[in-house]
Amino acid sequence: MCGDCGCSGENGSRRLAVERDLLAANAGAAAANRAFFAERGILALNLVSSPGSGKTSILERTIAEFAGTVPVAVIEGDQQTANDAERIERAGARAVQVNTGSGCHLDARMVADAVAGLDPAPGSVVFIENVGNLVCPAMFDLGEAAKVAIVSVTEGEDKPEKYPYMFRAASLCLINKTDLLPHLDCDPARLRQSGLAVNPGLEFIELNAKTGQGFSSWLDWIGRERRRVAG
Amino acid sequence: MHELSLACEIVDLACETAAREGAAAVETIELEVGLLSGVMADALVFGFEAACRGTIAEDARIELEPVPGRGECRACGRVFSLDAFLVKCPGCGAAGVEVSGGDVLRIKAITVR
Repeated sequence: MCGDCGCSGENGSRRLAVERDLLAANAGAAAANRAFFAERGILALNLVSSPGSGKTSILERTIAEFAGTVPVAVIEGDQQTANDAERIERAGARAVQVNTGSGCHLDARMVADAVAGLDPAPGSVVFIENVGNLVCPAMFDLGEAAKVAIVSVTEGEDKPEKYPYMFRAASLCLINKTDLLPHLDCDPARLRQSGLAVNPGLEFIELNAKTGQGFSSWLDWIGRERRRVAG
Repeated sequence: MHELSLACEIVDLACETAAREGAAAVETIELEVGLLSGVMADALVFGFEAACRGTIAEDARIELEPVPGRGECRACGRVFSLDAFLVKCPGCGAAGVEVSGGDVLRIKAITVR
C-alpha cells in the first residue's frame, strides 16, 4: 500500500477507513426517542412476541385496569391492517397504527413518527406493540425503557432457548394464557428455566389476559418502572 | 429479514463515504459481523446484492470478518470465545456462562477507485 495516500498502488484503488456501526442511524433515532420520553416522564415499553401470543389482549385488559388513573397511548405495529389499533381505541386508549408493509420489525424512526402523531401526555405509559416476530425486533432499539417478551403456554417450554436473542434483550417475560395449562404438557417452571439459561436477569410474571389472573403483578411491575422513569 | 435493512445501511454508508472522497466506484467493503449479533452473514450478502443495484457499490465485494463473543464461566472463571449463547464451560462443564461482546455490526473500511 502507498504510504502517502493509502492507495493500493495498482489501478488507483484506495482504502478508506469507515468505522461506522450499521445500526448507528437507528441508535441515533432511538436516543432521540429516549430523550423525548425522559423529558416528559413517560414510560415506554416495547412488547415483543411471536404472532398470536396475546399482546393486544393483554393491552386491552391493561388499558381497562388503568382507566381514569394512568394515561395510556399505544403504537401498534403490524405488517398490514388497522385492526389492532381499532381494538385498542375501543378499549379506551389512544392508538396509532404503523404498517410496516413487507418489513419484519419496527425501527426507531417509525416510532419517532408515530410518537409525533400521538403526542402522549406527560407521565403516561406508551406501549409499543411490535410486529409479531421473535427474531428481528430483538435487534432494533426503539428508545424504550424495557422490552417485555410475551410467550403463551401453547408455544412450548423451550421457546427462550430457541429464540435466545429476543429473550436476552428482554427485561421481563409475561407467560400468558395460563388458563390453558390443564390441557397442555407445558410446565411454566421449565419455561422460566429456559429463559434464565439465556438471560439470568430475566423476570417472569404468569398471567391470563382472559380472566385477569396475574394482572396485579404486571400492574405493580409497570408502577415500579413508572416511578423509576419519574426519577 | 432484518438483514435487508442492514444491507441498505451498508450501501448508504459505503456510497456516502466514496462520494465524499470523489471516488467513482466501491470495490470492496470490509465488514465486522459479531457471531452473537443475530445477523446471518449469508442473508446479509444476499440483501446487499439486491440493495447495491444502481449504485456505485454495485460491483463491490463484501469481505466479512466474523467476531466471536466472550464467555466467562461463573463457576471456574475460565474465559473463552463463543459463537452461540447457550454453551457450557469447556473447562468445568458448568452451564452458568457470562456472555459479552460478539454483537458488533460495523463497516470497517472500503476500497474505492
